[in-house]
Amino acid sequence: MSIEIADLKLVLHGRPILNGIRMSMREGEIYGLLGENGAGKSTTLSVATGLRAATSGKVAVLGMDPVRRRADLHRAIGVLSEQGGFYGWMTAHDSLRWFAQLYGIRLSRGAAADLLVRVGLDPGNRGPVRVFSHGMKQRLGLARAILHRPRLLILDEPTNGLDPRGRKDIHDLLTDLNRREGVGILLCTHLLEDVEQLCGRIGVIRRGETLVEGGLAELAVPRGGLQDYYLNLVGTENAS
Amino acid sequence: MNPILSLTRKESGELLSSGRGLAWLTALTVVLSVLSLLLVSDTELSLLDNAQVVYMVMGTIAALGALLAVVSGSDSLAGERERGSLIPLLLTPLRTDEIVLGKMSGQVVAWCVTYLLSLPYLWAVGGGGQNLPQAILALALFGTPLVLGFGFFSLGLSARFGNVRTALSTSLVALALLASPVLLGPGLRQSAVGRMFDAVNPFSAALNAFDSVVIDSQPFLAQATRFAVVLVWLLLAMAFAGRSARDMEI
Repeated sequence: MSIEIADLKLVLHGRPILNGIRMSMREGEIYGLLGENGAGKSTTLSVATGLRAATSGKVAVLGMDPVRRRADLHRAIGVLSEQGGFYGWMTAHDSLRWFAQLYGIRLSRGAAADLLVRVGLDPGNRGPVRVFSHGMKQRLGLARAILHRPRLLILDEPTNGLDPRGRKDIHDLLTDLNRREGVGILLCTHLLEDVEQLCGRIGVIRRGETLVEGGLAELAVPRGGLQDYYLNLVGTENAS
Repeated sequence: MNPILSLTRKESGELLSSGRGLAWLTALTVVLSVLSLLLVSDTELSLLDNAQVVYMVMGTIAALGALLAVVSGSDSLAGERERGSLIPLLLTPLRTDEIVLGKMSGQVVAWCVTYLLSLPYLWAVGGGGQNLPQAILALALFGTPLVLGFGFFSLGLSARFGNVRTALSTSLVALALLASPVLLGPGLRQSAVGRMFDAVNPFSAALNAFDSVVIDSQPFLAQATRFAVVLVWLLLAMAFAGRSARDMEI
């Protein structure tokens, strides 16, 4: 299993945030984690990446405890967080090379340029990151997430703010990474179109709890009908 | 390159070559130039004993160094959080204590630059006296743990509060509280409370050591207790910063 989460609970400042998340993501698959804003998707990711410790429950990512083996885990996974988090004064090249150093990798100018091309950025652009558009920052964030050749990618809203061409480019890149390099991808998004095109299995969470989990076929989601399925599911829960 | 060194290089670059860093270096040279000029040319101030003049400049350098450490320490983790760059940093294989070390190493570089910049001023005001080498050594020995202690302390507050404004204002209050007793009159300093505060206050310990070494020409060995005070301050501040960074909420 790439990610195994069972009965995950998290209480912050006396307030329950996660109330029973379960998730089983297999090696090399693309898994979609769905939920409305504030459902607990990003918090779940923060526990899975070791940034927060769970109050109770079992969490294992690539067989590792995210808190106890945080450094080892971070060498094996690549994360695109919701916030880009780049230093505005650095160029895209400098940014990738600096982050590579934090992974103990010496990234040549050529290798940095190849990475930029791979995510659809112009390697000749020497402008500081602060002048980049949101879409360009998303692409750069993806380049940063894959620069150390991770086994598992955890992506929080990777196509957010991208135009149709940009979204297709990212879809192609993720598909390529998954098929040719066997990289597992956990896609956390509210864009159901992305999930339908990329993911084999999904998990839907609401108010910090997993509602359903499984393959699209297993959950009897008709082709092109994820939106109806999702809205029905969330609607049913809202009614109850 | 070692990841901690990479972080150090980025931090020191941001501290010294950014617009803020250059403004700081300019302000430092202006303050020291004006002070030195007054001390050597003002009719009344120029009557001061050479050793006393050196002591005043040393105190100013230590205070300015502590101020820079407080400002940059307060920004270190809380600033990264506000700018959204903390999480990507925490998602690298660096441990939290390595991040603290990298950030503080940047401050060490900044203090070294401040120290080196201040040497010509010490020489300008104290070149004719006999205790200039002792003054330079005392500033390094006592000033370094004092300044870095303030850096670690502010970094700890930065991790605890999570926003720059609160961390900075609290750090500045702490700096003012610790620095204020040395500005009190001799009568108050001789009282029981004053003596007790002097005994545990790292700022007083450093300034009293400067006083003893430069003005009273006492040997360095006689300053062991004062050195212990600034060293304990540094160690306590380091422990506070490490603990705060580990407990930091994202």
